[in-house]
Parts: sequence; structure tokens; C-alpha cells
Amino acid sequence: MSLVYLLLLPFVGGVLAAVIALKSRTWAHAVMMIAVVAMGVIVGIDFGVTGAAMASASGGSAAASGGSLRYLLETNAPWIPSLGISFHLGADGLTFVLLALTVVLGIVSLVASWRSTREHEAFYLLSIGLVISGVTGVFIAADLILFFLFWELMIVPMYFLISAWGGKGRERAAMKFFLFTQASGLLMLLSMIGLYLAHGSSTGTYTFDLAALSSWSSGAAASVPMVLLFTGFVIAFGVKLAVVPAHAWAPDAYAEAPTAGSILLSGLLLKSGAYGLLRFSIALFPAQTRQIAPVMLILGVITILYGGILAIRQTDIKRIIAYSSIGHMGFIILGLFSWTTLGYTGAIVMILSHGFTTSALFFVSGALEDRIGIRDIDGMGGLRKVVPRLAGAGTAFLVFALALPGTGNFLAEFLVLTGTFQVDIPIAVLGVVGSILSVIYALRAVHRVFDGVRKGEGKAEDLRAHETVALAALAVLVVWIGVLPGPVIKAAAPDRAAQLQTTVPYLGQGGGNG
Amino acid sequence: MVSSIVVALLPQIVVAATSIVVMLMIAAKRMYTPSFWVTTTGLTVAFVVMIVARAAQPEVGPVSIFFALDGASRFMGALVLAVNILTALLSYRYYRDYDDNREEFHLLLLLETLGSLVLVASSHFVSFLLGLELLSVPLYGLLGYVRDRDHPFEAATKYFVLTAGASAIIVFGFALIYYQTGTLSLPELSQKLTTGLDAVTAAGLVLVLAGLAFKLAVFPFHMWAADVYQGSPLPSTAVIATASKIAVFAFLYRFLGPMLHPAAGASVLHSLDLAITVLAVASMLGGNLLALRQTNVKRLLAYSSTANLGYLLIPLAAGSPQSLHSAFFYLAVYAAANMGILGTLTLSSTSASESTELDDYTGLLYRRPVVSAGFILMALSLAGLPLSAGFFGKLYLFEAGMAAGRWVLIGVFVAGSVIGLYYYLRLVFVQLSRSPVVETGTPGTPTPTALTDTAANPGALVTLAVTFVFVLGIGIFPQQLLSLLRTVGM
Repeated sequence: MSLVYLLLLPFVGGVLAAVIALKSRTWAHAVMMIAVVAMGVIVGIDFGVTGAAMASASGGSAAASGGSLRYLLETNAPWIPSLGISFHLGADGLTFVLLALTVVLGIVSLVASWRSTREHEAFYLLSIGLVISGVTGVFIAADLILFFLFWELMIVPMYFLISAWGGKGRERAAMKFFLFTQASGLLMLLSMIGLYLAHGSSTGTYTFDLAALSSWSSGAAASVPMVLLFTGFVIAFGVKLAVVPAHAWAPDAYAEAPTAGSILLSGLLLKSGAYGLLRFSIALFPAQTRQIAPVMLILGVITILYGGILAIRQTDIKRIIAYSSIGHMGFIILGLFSWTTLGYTGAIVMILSHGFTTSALFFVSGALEDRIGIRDIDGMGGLRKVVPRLAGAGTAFLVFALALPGTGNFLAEFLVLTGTFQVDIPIAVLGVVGSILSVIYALRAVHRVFDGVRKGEGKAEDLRAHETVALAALAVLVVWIGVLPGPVIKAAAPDRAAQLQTTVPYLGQGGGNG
Repeated sequence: MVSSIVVALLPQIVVAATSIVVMLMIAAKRMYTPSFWVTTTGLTVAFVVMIVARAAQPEVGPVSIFFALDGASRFMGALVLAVNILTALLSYRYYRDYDDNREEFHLLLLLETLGSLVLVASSHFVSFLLGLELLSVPLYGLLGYVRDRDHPFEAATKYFVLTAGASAIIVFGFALIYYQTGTLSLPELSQKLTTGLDAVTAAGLVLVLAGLAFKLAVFPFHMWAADVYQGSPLPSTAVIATASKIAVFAFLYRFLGPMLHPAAGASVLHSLDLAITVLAVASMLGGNLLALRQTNVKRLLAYSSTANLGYLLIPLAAGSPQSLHSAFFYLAVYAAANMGILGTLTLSSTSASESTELDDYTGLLYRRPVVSAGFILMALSLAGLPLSAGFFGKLYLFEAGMAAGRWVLIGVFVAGSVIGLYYYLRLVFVQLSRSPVVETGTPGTPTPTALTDTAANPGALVTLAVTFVFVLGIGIFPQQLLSLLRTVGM
């Protein structure tokens, strides 16, 4: 039942906050913040209770679970029986890790929007609550139509955020974002219905339940229709992840969205694409996922190089972060489709550390824009003297983004590239070139923005206390993932963690019985 | 037996009786408000009777060769009555300050409702023609009802000339069919056609199909739609956008459904199927593309209706009983969303002036958040997004088309839906954008006019509330409507 609360908390919090915002914006923000924090507490308790139960039940044999779905926590109720759709929610370790990311980034996005004054606060907070609810739903849905519903549901409030509070090009950016994701989403819906019909006609039961469909489809022979159905899913997830031929919506949406929107977009909405590949592609189409791996590896490495090269050429700070973010998504693709334990765990680490780093960077760029009114790095320079704390945070996270050893980004890139190296050496080499590109754009940005001669005039306010705390917490998280990834990997992929321990001992540590 | 037929026909009888009462009231003394109440009450009673009669007698055999009072005709009949009740509500405040004769609007509305009810139940060419003319002739009056503006007259004339031509084509088509098969009864006709299709009957079928496509504004026959929608007074736009579409589509299904059933003769199936597929593809693409650049909400809805009728031809082509349900589901959801949007437009319109430009609604969300939430929900429902009824409508259509293996139609449906998103989202975007002057940077941009004051049209608010509850309710719990449709047969 508590999964339903997770879903409702941000939504109800958003509605309450919207009502309160008509009287006091501070209290409205506080209510929204309390809702998200409460959600975090529930996630923690749920995982603590169910995770311990699982550990004691299965002992050291977690490695045997393979790819099958075993939920730690489930809610299942009939919803639309005549179409075989049920209100089925389920959470396993991976889900809990992503829910934790959701809570952290929800809090960060609220902190980022605490200071800036804007019109129509009520609607703004409601939209943020809806985005968080939608993302949560995507992570815990265990029925295909329910998943699709949340998939679309998180797009709509994000569209509201971009089109009501975005920058100058907001109409175009919001429309592009919506059309890309919705068009690819429709293809996924067709694939879902195709799977439903194929399953129904061969077994006699018509259902959209993920577990039922996955146990059937993983046994079904790789026939042409299955490849077609799989393509629908891959296109939808690829567009969401902004893999290169389908990335065109991403830079505009990032650049034009308000800060909190950019944070949620890059940290969570994109990750839903990665989650879709992890959960749906692998559970529903294991054979086909392996078949397309070579193609996806090439696309992944193109994404890395493309993101890196374009990030070097940008002068708008948000666009630099946007392209850098696209490049990092390439690493997730490489990791997943290298089909190795190292790559897989690397992708999971990347999902988290990229979420923390990029949201911090959008936070910093939003704070800069608030204070000096521009995003163009040509107009900046010498800001270290003006806003030392902000400059320090910006420098730190840009250096984290270039994969400083000791951070989660470094660990993720290292794992992914090592995993890729085992299957395809040229791709891995090109991936390393991509990592070098990130050094160029990150240091260039540090240099142009914070060092050198101050171009503008006047003073600017430095980071406030609550902003400093939020950024410091994110920095701690990035480093923590990099130094002590064991518990996270163990929670997200228990079977992989056990395998991993034999090759890279320190990664599998933590969590008791590893 | 006689009594059960009377009970089954009671809704039609109630509407006919109400129209006579309203006519006599006008003859005695013109009273706007009482005639409104009589009309609304009559329609509501008919609606309730329709539901009660269906619950009491689920199956009435064929009443005569003219009428089939089956599940489909009653479902569609209830839908027709519902949208006409809402139209009556919209019209009250709209015509309240109109200084010419106002009461005849109610009379025309009742006659048009009666025509629609006849049309959805007709199983014979004679009753079809009766219903069609009883629907079309009052529509001429409804479309041109406001006489002191130019556009309604233009709309009525255009509709009259073109639709009278379409009626003539249909009659000619039926003449050809009758010449060859010797029957005017629809069940007998589809029975006879199972043996084969000759050139004359085929020509007749094509003519009837073209005429019906004309009334539905399906793509190559859509030219009148945008001008008529834009020119007509808003309550009349609601009639032409919902009631007339529901009635004609129901007849189209009754006419062609049995012939497109897999059990029908192969030659009939093949040639009709081709015609329907071509119409559907043209409509889905043409309607959506033409809607892209519209800046008037009514014109946008007109082209969107062309596209949506294209979607509705998919289940017809699919030809299975489930696909009938998906078509009816979609039609109900589509009608609700259209009524909702037209209700929103009526909120700030009267017979003297209407706010139907897209720009009139700039920043509506911040002026009237509740109204705007309704408007946005309707637009998202038309776009087919979840938690609105439109999502399940599309899902159900997808399923029907895919189960029948109609891949071309489904592919075009997806493409059309994506194109459609663009203009439905523009409906949403204008309401979200804050100030038009900042938006375009040109100081000459007119400021939004719609709903800037707190004046309210209670009928339009009720319409918006009813459609809001329906669209959101079906969007979250579609099972009730799905279960109801399961019992509907034709």
C-alpha cells in the first residue's frame, strides 16, 4: 500500500502547496518540501524493511535470481479488467535506488526555486509535484499501460514548466520536447498493444502485466514481429535518453526550461529512458536486446563524441551542460549494451552520479543567471572574486563532470569503458576519447566563467546558506558513490554485485552478506 | 407487444411531443425562459426514459422494417440527447439578449434532435431519408439563426447548398441500389450483397458513401466544414460538431458495418474496404495537416473533426464486433471533448459577438484557472493523453485496428496523432503564456478579450462541468463505459 502513498504524496503536496501559495509562497514551498521529504522517509523505511527481509530470506543465493522480476513490495488491484489492465505497482532494489534519486533531485529542484521570485507560484509548485509523481509512477509501474500512463503523465507538467516559465525560445523548445517524446511514446504504445495481442492469441489470456508478458516473451522464439515490437520500445527509450539521432529535443528543452525544470528533466526524466531499457527491454526482449547491442554500442559512442564536441563549441552555459549531459547518456548506453557485469553496474552508477552532478550544474547555472542576468560565458569571467562560494561549487561540479577519480562519474566511466573493452576494443577506445573531450569543455567553462578578468560591473549576491548546504550535500553524494558504491550496486543489482565482487572486490562490499 | 414498442419508442415520442408544445407556446405567447425550460425538461425526460427503457427491455425485436431499437441505437440515441441537452444549456444565455425571435431556436433544436434519433435507429432507406431531412432542415435554420451578422447567413447558405447536393447524391445512390437489388431495407441489402457485387450496385454504394462522407466532412468532402463551423452561432456549431456527426456516423455504421464484417461476401468486402481505407487515410492526414495553421478555435475544431472522423473509420474497416465498441467509445469521448471546448468558447460569447480566436484565450489560466483547467483537459483529451478519456479512446481504437491487422491505417493514425498534438498543444500553450505583447515583441498585438470580466454563462459552466467530470472520470475509470458498451450490439 505504501507504494500508492509514494505516488500520491508529491501530487497531494503539490495541490496543497498550490492552495497555500495563494496566501504565502514560503509556506507553500515548505509544504511541498515536506511532502518530498516524507516521500524520502517512506522510501527509506520500505527499503529498510523489505530489503532486510529479502536478505534474510535468500541468504547468499541472490546471484541465482537472474533476469526475472522479483518485487520486494507489490500492490495489485484490478483496474480495467475488460482490457487486461491492472493497477499493479512493484518495487525492487533498482526501483528503490531510483526513488531515492527522485527524492534527492526533488529536494534540490525545490531548493533551486526557493529564492527566485516568479509569477503564478501555485501552478509552478503543482507542476513540480506532478512531475515527481509521474516519475515515481514510471519507476514503480508493473503493468505496461500503467507505465505508459505515467510516462506520458510526467511529460505534461514538464511541458507546463517549460512553456510557462521557460526562457525566450520556450514555445519552440516545449513543443519539440513534447512532440519527440509523444511520437516515440505512441510507437511504444503500439508495441505494447502488439505484445498484448501476441501474448493473448498464443496463451488465451489478454493482459498487460509486465511479469506475465516477460515470462512469456523471454521464452518465445526470436521472430520478426518480436523485433518490430522491440523496436517500438527502443525508440521511445532512446528518444527519452537523447541518444544521438533522436536527441534534437534535448538541448533546447534543457536550455529553455527553468532551473528546477532542467534539474528534473536531466536528472529524472532522462533516467526514465535508461530505466526503461534496464527494466522493460531486458525483461521483455532479452534475445532482441542482445541482437541490437552492436548497433547500440555504435550509437552510444557517437552520442558520447557528439555531446563532447558540441559542448566544446557552446557559449551558453546551460547548453554546455546540456551537451555534456547528452554525452554522459552515451556512457549509459555503452554500459547497458556491452552486456557485461562491469558495464551494467557502471551504467547504474552513471545514472546516479550523473543525476547528482548535472542537477548541481544546472543549479549553479541557474543561480548565476539569477544573479548576473546572462548565460553567455563570453560575458562572464572573473566571477571567482565576486561570488566565491558559487564559483567554488561550479568549479567542483565541472571537475566532477569530467570524471575526477574518486567521484561517481569516474567510477562509472571506468566500469563502462572496461566493460566495453571486453566486447569491442575500438568502441572502448573512442569512448576514452570522449572522456578526454569532457576535460576540454569542463576546464574551458571553469576558465571562462570563473577565472580571468571580470567583464561586467557591480556586485552579486553569493550562494545563500540553504543553497550551499544543498550543493554540498550533492557533492558528498557524488563522492560517496565514487568511493563506496558497494551498497548501491548491491541494492540495485544484487545478482550483479555478487558477480562483480569476484573481479573488482571493493565494489561488491557493504550491505552485510556480500 | 404494442405497449413494449411504445415504451421503446417513448424517447422519440417525448421529443416530438415537446416540439409540438414549444410550437404551440410560441403561437400563444412568446416567452423565452419558459420555452427554454420546456425544451430542456423534454430532452432530459427523453434521456432518462431512454436509459430506463433500455434497462427495462434490453432487447426489443425489430419494431418494423423501418426501425431497429437495438443496443446501438439506444446508446447513440442517449448520446444525441445528452449533447442536445448541453447545447440547450449553452444557448440560453447566448440568445438571452438577442432582440429578434429567440424561441424558435428551441423548436429547431428539438426537431433536429428528433431527426438524429430517427437516424440512429433507422434500418431502412425511407426512415433514413426521413431522419436525415429532419436533421438537416432544422440545421439550416440553426446555422443561420443570428440574422444581424453576416457570417451565420453565409454558413447556412453554404451548408444548405452543399448538403442538399449530398442528399441528392445519396438518393440517387439508393435508387441505383434499389434498381439492382430490389430492396431498400438495410438488413436485406447486406444479405443480398453476400452473393456478389455488380457494377450498378457498386456505383450506388459509392454514391451513398460519398454523400454520407460529405455530411461527416470526411477528407475530400470536408471543404464546407471550416467556414460553416466558424460562421455559425456557437450553439449551432455544437450541434453540427456533435449531434449531427453522431447520428450520421451511427447510420454509416449500420449501413456498412454488416457489409464490412468478415462474414460478408468477398467482393463487397474488398471494394468497400478499399474505399473506406482511402477515405480514412486521406481524412487523418488531410484533416490534421489543414488544422495545423488555424488561428481560430472553431476552424481548428472543424479540421480536427475531419481527422477524428478518419480515426473513426478504422474500426469500421476492422469490421469486428469489438471494433464497434471502440468506435462508439471514441465517438462519445470525442463528442464530450468538443462540447467542453465549445462550452468554454460560449462562456465569453453572446449572439452579438463571439470570442473564438486563439489569441483571445492568451493567459486564460491566470485569469480563470478553473475554466482553463477544463479547457486544457479537453484539449489533452483530444490529443489522447492519459488521465483523460481520449487516451482510452485512442488505446481502444489502436487495439481494434491492430487486432484486425490494419497496419496501414494504424501507421497513418499514429502519424496523424503526432501532427494533431501540435495544434492541440497550441490550445494549451496560449492559455499558459503570460502576456502576448512580450511574447511576440510587437506592441500592436491585441490584448486577449475572452473571459476578462467575471460575467458567466451558467449554462456553459454546467456544460463545462459535466464534460469535465465525464472526460476525467472516464479517463480514470473507463471500465464502466466499457462494460456498458459490451452489451451494445447492432
